[in-house]
Amino acid sequence: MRVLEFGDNKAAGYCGRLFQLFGAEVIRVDLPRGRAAETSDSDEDTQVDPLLADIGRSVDIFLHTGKQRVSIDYQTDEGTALLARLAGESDIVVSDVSPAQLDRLNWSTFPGALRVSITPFGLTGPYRGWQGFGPIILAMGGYTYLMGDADNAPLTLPTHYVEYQAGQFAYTAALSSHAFESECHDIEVSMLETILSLSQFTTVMWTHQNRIRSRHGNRFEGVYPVSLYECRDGFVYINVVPTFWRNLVDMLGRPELLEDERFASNRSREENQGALDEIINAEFAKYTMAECLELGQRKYRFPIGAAMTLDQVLADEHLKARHYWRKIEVPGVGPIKAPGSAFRQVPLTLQPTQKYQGPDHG
Amino acid sequence: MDKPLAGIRILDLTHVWAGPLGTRILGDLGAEVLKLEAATARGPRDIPVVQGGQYPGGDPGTEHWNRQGFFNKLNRNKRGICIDLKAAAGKRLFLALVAESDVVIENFSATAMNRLGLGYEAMREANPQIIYVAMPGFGTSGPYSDFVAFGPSVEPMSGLTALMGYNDKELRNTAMALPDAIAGVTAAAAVVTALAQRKASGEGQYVDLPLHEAAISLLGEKYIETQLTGKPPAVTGNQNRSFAPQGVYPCAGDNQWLAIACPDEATWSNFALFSGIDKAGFANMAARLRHQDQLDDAIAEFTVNRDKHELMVQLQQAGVPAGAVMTTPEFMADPQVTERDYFVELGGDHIETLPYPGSPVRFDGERATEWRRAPRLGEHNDEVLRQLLNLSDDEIQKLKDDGVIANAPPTVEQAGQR
Repeated sequence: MRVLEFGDNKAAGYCGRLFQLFGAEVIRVDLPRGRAAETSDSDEDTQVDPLLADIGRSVDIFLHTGKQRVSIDYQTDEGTALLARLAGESDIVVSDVSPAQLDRLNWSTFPGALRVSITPFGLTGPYRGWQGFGPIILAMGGYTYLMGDADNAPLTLPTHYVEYQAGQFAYTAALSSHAFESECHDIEVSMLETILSLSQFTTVMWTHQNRIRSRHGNRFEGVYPVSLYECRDGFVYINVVPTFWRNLVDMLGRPELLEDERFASNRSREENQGALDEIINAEFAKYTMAECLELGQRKYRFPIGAAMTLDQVLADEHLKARHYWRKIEVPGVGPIKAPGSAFRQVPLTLQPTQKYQGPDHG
Repeated sequence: MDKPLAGIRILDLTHVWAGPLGTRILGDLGAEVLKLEAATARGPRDIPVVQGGQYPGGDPGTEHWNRQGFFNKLNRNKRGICIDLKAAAGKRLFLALVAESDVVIENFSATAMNRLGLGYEAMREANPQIIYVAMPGFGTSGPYSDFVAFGPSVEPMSGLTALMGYNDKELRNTAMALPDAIAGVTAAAAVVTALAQRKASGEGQYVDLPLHEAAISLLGEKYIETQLTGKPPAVTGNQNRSFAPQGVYPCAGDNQWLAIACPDEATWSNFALFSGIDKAGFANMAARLRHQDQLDDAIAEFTVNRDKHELMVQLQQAGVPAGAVMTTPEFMADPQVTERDYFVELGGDHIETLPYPGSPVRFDGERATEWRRAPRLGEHNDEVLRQLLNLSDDEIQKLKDDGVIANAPPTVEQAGQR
């Protein structure tokens, strides 16, 4: 299977990454440096600052290692013709360029057995020509309103969540169409609709009860104690739904709390969260994150997670035992750990080492 | 209308969010999804669980277990069967259904299926080509595999919490169990991958898909950056470390906000021209990155008395990426969402017809799904057992009499006796 991928909005890149992990031959077409106007990673200013260069290169390594890379200026007629020839030799063509650029390519008649477009708002509708990526789509799709403190600005996600989730949808739709030989030629994925399809209970809270879900910092509306607490060297998150209340009380070493009417029910715990937070904070401050995790998970058996920093996750024994990381050889840097496939066949085995070759090596 | 997964049968044992989301996506792609539940899966009959208030009109009605909004949102296009997998006859039914299915998927704890005697080996004996996808929080092996895992407590273990917040002292969780949403979409990808591989090789497989690793995978480049730079990325609130401006800015009214992001010179020039913000001091990206706070202050001053919707439209028309921070009623009424008929109305005798989120995928311009409402508990017991397992009416009646299959939850007292 050969997959052709182009566009710089990161969704096609993630879709192509999944195809690469699947074992397909993936050809990525980049615009020549200086022509990619849709993202900052190729902006000239970002190339001169080492940190910004590393940020940009990290995305490139993550998304594109293992792909064949060619550089074609498909914004010119000559480049378009070349892209079309490559598409004609491909089973699946994935793009995340704007609808205007798709129009210029005559997308509906573009070569390729199966064309997949991932666009911010879809190929129809009044916002068809609007610009959108992560923070814009998260705002319009209801996520941003829910994240952060009630009395402060809402927060966006510091990740490419929107783009990668849309890429996952595109991969799933395209691979199923290809594998099962459907008659379809055009798959369309909307990034806004991707986010709208991933609301937790935000939409049903409105449609079923006419209530608007609001943001509460780290607290999860409706259940308590579910929040982030500080310990000696960081933070831990606990998710104490009523089933686990007794387990938490055991860890706190305060059996009298079970008889305390302020904490007798989920509702009363929520109403008295300030008092409860004081008790939890005082106890957790005695422990490190690792101790909290060990006690909470192994001894008292309730849902608790440590707010691990990325270097802690990279060194984590659990992930090491599961061979989660795949090794990538980066010229001038050496071997690094990159996230492997999120789903793998049991028994788990070492993931193959790959070499990052950068752009322009097709 | 194209349905790429037509003819694929999925035995769906999932519950809560991640798993049902994954099988909803597969159902949207045309797969036949058999949702297999325990009688207690939707709570006991005599205690309506009111979490987040999700019954239509706030009314649990006489069968609250079938009226839960969260459940109905996630389980459209599935048929519902209710089997007691702890009973010997229930185990036999399950394995008989495995023999007739392509995929089994569940998101119980790592050891649950083996404790039932229904692990992969038992499934493979019933169907050598079966694909089995397990979705425990931390996977089926490794030191954390027995951890108690819910999406919100898995999230900080992925590293996301340490990246997110107003600053590194004020970290924030998404408070919406993001690993579930990630793992759900990933589960659909995993199933399709295994199906495609089986089509080529003829072999089934046992797939491990932890919420934990699914969430880490979506942070991919952050882990690489940590190694290239020698330190984890800084917590920067709504600012972007690669370009400026990016932020969520106040608008006219209480708690009204607009996201604006200018990732390149073109969008910045468009914004500066439209807003009239003095470009001096912000002449190029390096300068804007150095003075992000001042730039954000200037933008907030520009936005604070403007209507977020009007400004969003004006900025987009001026070539600036902007999006109003919307609540549910706002995005449900948004012209882009309504014109594309994104929300789908579903309902039945027991639940009012209400809009639910649709599918973000179109095949040749159309959604592939048929939009059938979520099943009542055990609604398709008879139909499925008759059609797939050729059981007679007498055999089905005996299963009912013996409590092996059900179409209503037990009371608290009955559940306690089990």
